Amino acid sequence: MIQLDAMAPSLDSMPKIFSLSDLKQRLPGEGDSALDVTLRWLEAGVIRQVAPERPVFYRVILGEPLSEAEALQALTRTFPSLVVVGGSALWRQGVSTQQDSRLECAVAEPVTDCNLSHVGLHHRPAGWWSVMRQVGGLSAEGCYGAAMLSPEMAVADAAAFRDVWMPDRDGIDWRRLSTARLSTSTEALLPLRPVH
Amino acid sequence: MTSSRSPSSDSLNGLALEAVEHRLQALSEYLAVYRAGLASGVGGWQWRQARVLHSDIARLQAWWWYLSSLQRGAGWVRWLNKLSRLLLPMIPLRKDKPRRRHAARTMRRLGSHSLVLRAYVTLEEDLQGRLLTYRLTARQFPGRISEGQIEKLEVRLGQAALLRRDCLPEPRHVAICCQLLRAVMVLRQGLGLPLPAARVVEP
Repeated sequence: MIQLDAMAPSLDSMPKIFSLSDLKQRLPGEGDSALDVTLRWLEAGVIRQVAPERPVFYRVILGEPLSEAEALQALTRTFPSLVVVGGSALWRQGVSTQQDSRLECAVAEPVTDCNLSHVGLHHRPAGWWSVMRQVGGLSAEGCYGAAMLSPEMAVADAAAFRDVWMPDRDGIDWRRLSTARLSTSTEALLPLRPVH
Repeated sequence: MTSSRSPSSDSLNGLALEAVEHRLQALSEYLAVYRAGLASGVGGWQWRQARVLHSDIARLQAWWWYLSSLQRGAGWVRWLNKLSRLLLPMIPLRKDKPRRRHAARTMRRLGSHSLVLRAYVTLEEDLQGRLLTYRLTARQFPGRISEGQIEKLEVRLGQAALLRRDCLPEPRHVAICCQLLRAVMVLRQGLGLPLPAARVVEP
């Protein structure tokens, strides 16, 4: 244990978001001790897994929660298919007057557990990303490097899947939405609509 | 792994197939997001990312075909291995520099060997991530996770480490197999013949 302590890098030297491979690069040899070091940090509560069973972690610093950019960095490293959806996409593009209390995201994986507070993960079926490609359903700006739905697609997606937070109707600036694109988006998502 | 067939080599081959499928799934998801972004007018630097990902996926598909044919005991694999041995001296040894995550906005193209190695490493790290969750749960909530579950996972992790350390063929052999099979796949696609496909859900 003493030997392990001497070899382990200090947690402060690690980035706020890191993976097992990042830690292995800082350990001598092939990084076989990375698992033990990580388990000790997890037990001490100084780091957490971004999502259960995933080898991506974030440092827990009291009074210093992850910023939105850091949370999105952690999420995109954990879930390759991540897209910001729902009211979160609308608020970040200035189309909604009501701010979201949690970041709504869509992923391809059926598992949607996440240890980040204020993040909601929602599963989307196979074919959803192809629809985004066909109709150009993503926003050109993105959100801190993560993909984000266009306002029209965000509205159409929320109507189709009904699992994400959306602002009240009065909270949306409808003048900024294109009726044609909203109609195209709604139509494109029709075959993927779950049976409620 | 490439020559002898024993139950343990079969299980390692199965694990190698799982690693490649797992990596193909992740790369397909990244590619789906990039493509959707490009269709929506997202910045031009993503063209390069998409091109690199497309090439990575094609070479991994080729390696998956090689592994699955090896597991099935397909006769042509022996001929491919012989051809590869003949071609080996003609190919210079090349060492890839590691592709660090987020080091730059654009990805560098990896050699086939590094690409396959990355797939094996990723599976090993995913198993380690799962083991960490199991161990933490077992300590915090005794009874929720049994010792048997942890032991089973540790065995798989040991196999994954063995796969990464000792079971990856010579880099030039991987490169030759990937390039040749990729060319055959392009040809088959051109002729309208069915393509061997890994179990990957297109996002």
